[in-house]
Amino acid sequence: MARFAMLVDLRRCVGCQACTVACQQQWGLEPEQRFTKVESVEYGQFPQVSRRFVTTQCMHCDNPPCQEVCPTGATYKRQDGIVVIDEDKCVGCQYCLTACPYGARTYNEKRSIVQKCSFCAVRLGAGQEPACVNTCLGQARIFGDLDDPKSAIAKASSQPGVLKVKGTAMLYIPPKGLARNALPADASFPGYVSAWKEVVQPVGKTLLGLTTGAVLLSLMMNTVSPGPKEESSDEEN
Amino acid sequence: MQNEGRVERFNLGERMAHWNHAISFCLLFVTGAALIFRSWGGLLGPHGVKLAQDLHHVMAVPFTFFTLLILLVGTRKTFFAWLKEIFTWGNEDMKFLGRFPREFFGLKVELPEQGKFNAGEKVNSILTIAGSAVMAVTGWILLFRAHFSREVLAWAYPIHDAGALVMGAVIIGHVYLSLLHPRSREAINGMLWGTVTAKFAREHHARWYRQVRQNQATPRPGRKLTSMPAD
Repeated sequence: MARFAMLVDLRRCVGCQACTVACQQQWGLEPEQRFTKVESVEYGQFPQVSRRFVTTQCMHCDNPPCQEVCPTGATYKRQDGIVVIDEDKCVGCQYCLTACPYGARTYNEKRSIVQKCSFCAVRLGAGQEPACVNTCLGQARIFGDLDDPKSAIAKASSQPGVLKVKGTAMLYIPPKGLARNALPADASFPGYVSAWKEVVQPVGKTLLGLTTGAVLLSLMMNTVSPGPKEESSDEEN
Repeated sequence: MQNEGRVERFNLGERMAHWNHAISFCLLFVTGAALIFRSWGGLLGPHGVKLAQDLHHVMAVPFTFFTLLILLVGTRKTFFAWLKEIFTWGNEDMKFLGRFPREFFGLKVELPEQGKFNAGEKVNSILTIAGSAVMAVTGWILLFRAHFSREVLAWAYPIHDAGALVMGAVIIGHVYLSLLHPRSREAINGMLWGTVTAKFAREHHARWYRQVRQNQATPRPGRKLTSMPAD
């Protein structure tokens, strides 16, 4: 099985935003909707300062919190590692938008659905590269199958200086001197999602079950050996 | 004394507020469940979930505002009396809670005298008030998501969910006791038609019943006993 990933050689990124626009054009996005973003970072100490660019997008997490919270199963991770949204199933509740630790998801007001980078899964199916990779002037982006040793990304990922964002499908080659925290953090499952899915729901369901059980038991005990019933008791007067 | 008649328990305002809250809560619970449980949501399909979502947002209005409005406009006096009573706790109340499990399961037990609301009803009232407040606040935050930070929104979900499940458990017990439990199901008549049998009032709410009798002996406006034939 394939394991798709993207490597961005930030040393080659000139911050032209062509990837952002190519992506928007590819997917017919609203102007404020960006699946891939280019942010500029400045670092160093005067007069030794640098200005570089960091691109961000959906990280296609190994264990995606967005998939966990989706009530309809619209968001899911494919076997090849790509996290996609089935737009027909999306009801626009935006739970995923909040759950995503990378802020990679966007809400399409006009269509009332959530959208994000899908590594251009549709283009891949047609044998094309993702739009951002295709358009990148500096050829900073490499996309491919990490499990295929002959692929460009497999070869590139083994060279020194490559930083793999742990738990995700994204790799970067940061420019010299760029602090790690200028890049997206390693994936960590957000506390509010685990609190919700692993504590609140099981405990809540147990509580509902216990109450129902107590009610059924009470119903049984009251039927089997009816105590002094309200209607039939004559003890007063 | 076979035909002691019936005692007024809840006036029209109290009953309207109760049923507004009950109906909106049940609809919110069912539609909300479709929005968080994939098994239930999957059964409805995306269009069903979308419909559930819309209905959920509409029902938020009567749940948040109408109940309180009805209580404040329609029956302010009993509303405040209720609030005062449910937050007033004595030894009898603790004793009642300790012994109630035996009553619940139909075992022999002597329960201490109770006022208009017994300790269990007080717990139910407090949980409903607190739960409704939590649900309304977190719910409206989620509806007006543009005005809140991601952190606030992120925690609003599990809290909203936890509140719903706790309230769901409470309502299962509440509905059972009022509709099916042989010793307490007379209570539903109080909430449906406004009156309960004098016998039920005396046995379950002795302190309140004495007070009603007293008020009846020295009639005051607004406090009346309806004399309907006992069943």
